[in-house]
Amino acid sequence: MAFPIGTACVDAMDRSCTEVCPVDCSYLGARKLYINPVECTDCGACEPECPVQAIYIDDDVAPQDAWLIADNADFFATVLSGCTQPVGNPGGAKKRGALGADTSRIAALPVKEVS
Amino acid sequence: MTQTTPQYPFPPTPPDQVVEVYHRLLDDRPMTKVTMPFGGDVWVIHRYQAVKQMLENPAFVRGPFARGEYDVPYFVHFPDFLKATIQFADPPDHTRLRKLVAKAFTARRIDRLRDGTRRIADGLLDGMAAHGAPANLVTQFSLPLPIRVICELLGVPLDDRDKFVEWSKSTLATSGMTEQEIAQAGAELYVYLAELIAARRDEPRDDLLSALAAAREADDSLTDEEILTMAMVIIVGGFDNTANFINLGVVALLRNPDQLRVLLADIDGVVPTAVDEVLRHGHFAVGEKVTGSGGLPPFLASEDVEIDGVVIKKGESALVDPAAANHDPRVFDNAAAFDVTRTPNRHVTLSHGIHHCLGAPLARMEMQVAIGSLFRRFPTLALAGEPQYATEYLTAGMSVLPVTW
Repeated sequence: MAFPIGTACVDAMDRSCTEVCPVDCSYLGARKLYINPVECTDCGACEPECPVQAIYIDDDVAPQDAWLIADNADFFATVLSGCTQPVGNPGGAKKRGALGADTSRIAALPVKEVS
Repeated sequence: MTQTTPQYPFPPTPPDQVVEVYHRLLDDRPMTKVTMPFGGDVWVIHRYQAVKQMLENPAFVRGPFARGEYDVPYFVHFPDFLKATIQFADPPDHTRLRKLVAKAFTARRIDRLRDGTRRIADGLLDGMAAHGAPANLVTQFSLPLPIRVICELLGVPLDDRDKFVEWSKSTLATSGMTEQEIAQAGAELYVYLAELIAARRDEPRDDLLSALAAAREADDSLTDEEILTMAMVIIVGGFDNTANFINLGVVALLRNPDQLRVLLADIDGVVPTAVDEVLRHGHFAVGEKVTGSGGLPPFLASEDVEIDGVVIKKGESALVDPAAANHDPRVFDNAAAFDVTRTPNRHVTLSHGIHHCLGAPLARMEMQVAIGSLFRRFPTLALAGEPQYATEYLTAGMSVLPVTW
């Protein structure tokens, strides 16, 4: 199961989800976070924590965010800009650190004004 | 150091001293091995970061308790019913069960219940006003509110709620009832829910019991037994704790008039942080003595694990001391203060990790609506006597809370 993080996270990056994730599987891109669908245990702890309600833990994904299910998986499976190999499943976001890159579709989104 | 080693457990201690006791304890060690009144020894983990490490480590499991291979070390005889629920399941079973109901408790879905919960609260407050002061807040407001919300969420007919409340409370009884009486009440609740789920399977409605009834078709690994136990744990977890924390919040606010003034000045703005501060510090803020003992239900180490310099050996148990962790000065500034605007407030009262409270968004929403609506209606609310506690139940909440206005 993939818990996609929606576009509400782009440029907001509150990171509360990283505080509550018991398996530390919410990874930092450059402009957004991504939940590793292999490492995630479907516990749902992150969903109510997100102050911008960006996380979907069920089949309730808003139609405009449906593409993010595949995009989220791409973040881990494809080689991101500036990297030499896919992120894969590092087994912990904190030890992996910020990736400093996003999927191409996220990177191409216009920059949001975030207060 | 001339100071003696801080003792744990410690006897009832005034709340202004207890935070100091906890700070010395947290300074001294991350955890204490305690011999519990039931079930033997357990590591009681005090430090916040050590608590999180334990709860995040999949080596800590509960299956051996559920299967009866180990006794549950606890301050009371641990209710058998809870050992059969998701709370004592390990992955992958836990994951399968949690997924079944998680979607009913997302922040989005719960937010949609907020207006309905406000209407329930206003109706109960109308009843209180008509009854006149003084009133027992527990029976007139803080208990019927979450009961009605969980009835509506599950789709339990309102006419049946009195009997199912009695059955549900019995499953958490730790004294005052024989094992036979507890088993009988549990069996009656079980049969009642089985009939209701069967009815919803034939004629689905827009409620959680219908969703649970339909779940077996979508996932044939689910058994009727699992579905029923899930419905039971949602009911049992769904009103008692919520009512207790509403009561605790009301008393904490009434006994801290400076903080009540902060709330009254901007109820909608302050109530979300006020509720989390009640969850973190409410037991201290009511002003009664605090005892250092117990905590959240334990886990069993399935291998040797080192946490904060202490090795918890395979086969040893560990549990979270939320009162200590919630006052850890490394995480909470001015931890002794009851501050209804505290933010961030990452307390562990509702646990953390895969077993963190499934109903947390629902509990927060209900507490926000209850406390907000109550003080909006009766800004001059005051205590009309001492609260009384129902210590014969695991959750040991208030049974009488006399108020006037």
